Amino acid sequence: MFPTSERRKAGVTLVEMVVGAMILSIIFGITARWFFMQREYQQRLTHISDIQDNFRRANWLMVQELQMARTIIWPRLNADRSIRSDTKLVFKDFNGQIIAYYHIPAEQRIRRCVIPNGPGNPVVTARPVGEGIASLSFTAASIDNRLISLHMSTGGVHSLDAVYLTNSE
Amino acid sequence: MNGSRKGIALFLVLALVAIFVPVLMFLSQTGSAQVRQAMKYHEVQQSESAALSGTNSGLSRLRGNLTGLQQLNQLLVGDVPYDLTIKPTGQGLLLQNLYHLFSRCMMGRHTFILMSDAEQLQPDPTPPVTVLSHDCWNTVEPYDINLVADVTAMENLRGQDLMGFEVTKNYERSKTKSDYASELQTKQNKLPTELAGDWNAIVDILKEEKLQF
Repeated sequence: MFPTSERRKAGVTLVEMVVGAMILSIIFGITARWFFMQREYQQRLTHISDIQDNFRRANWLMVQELQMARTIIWPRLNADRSIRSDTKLVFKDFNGQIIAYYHIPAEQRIRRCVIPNGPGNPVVTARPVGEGIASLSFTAASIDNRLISLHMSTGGVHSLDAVYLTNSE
Repeated sequence: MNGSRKGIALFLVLALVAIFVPVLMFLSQTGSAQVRQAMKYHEVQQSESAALSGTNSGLSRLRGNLTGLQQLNQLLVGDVPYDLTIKPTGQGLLLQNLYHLFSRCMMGRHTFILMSDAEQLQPDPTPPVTVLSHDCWNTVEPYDINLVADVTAMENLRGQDLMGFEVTKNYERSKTKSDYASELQTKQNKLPTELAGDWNAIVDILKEEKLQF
């Protein structure tokens, strides 16, 4: 038989392990709750960030081409010079070709179509200009048909941009 | 501290480390990915804006009666550096000086170059000299605007686009309004449904704005 003090020195008793495990489980519970809350928050942020990234990519592609384009064909201001919006945009690009961007709500995609300004058939560009975009509208905002604003939205996240066409016909 | 307390403390410390290290790593990874994405977008936006400002500064220099070849490096818009090359290309019919302006901004891995034509009308005794600019063209290829070969390559690419523009202009001029409209009308049934609906109205606008001369 060992004296009590020597037995204690030899290791950890079951009661001590249980107390330790209980304290640990309480800390773990608090941490896990905080962890899952953070994960949920991060997922929400990532989701919004993904939507914004879709907007940026689509915006960048459209703005690059539009900046150098020559004139907006559609939409145009109304007869009383009030602004007018549409889900499609038709313009003449740097080369004088007719280009159209249009939104397909069912696919949540923006597509680009090249319509030859002369003989030839329209060709839809294989890669979509934008994906995961629930709504899109182009708004004509100037009488010289060189200013257009682009509005996109998905799941309560919005993007608004405007482009002025540098070149003229 | 006696043995039992040491045991509990050691157990707790090791367990806490095991929990917190993966949590912190996860949070730092998600955070840094978003920061990288935001920084990339910031670079794209800033380089474009700086190159556009660069073109305007080039036009201002021409208005200030600056002439001849200029290769200006590391100019600043705020704290963003950009390069500017003003290349004379000859004289126009009105004896105006013709230039190609190249403005380039590089940030991170993103490059934006804007090229444009400018006509410097002269002689004007004192600045500001009248300057007309037209036909801007851009690229995101990482050309060096201080190298003659790269500048020529850009001029050639732009020349291809301008030749394409000449073809469409000549086509429009060679057709009567009705021929031009009827050719466009034939495309209606080959268009995506989203475009086909308003195509008649679009063709009307194109017909009215057809180049005549």
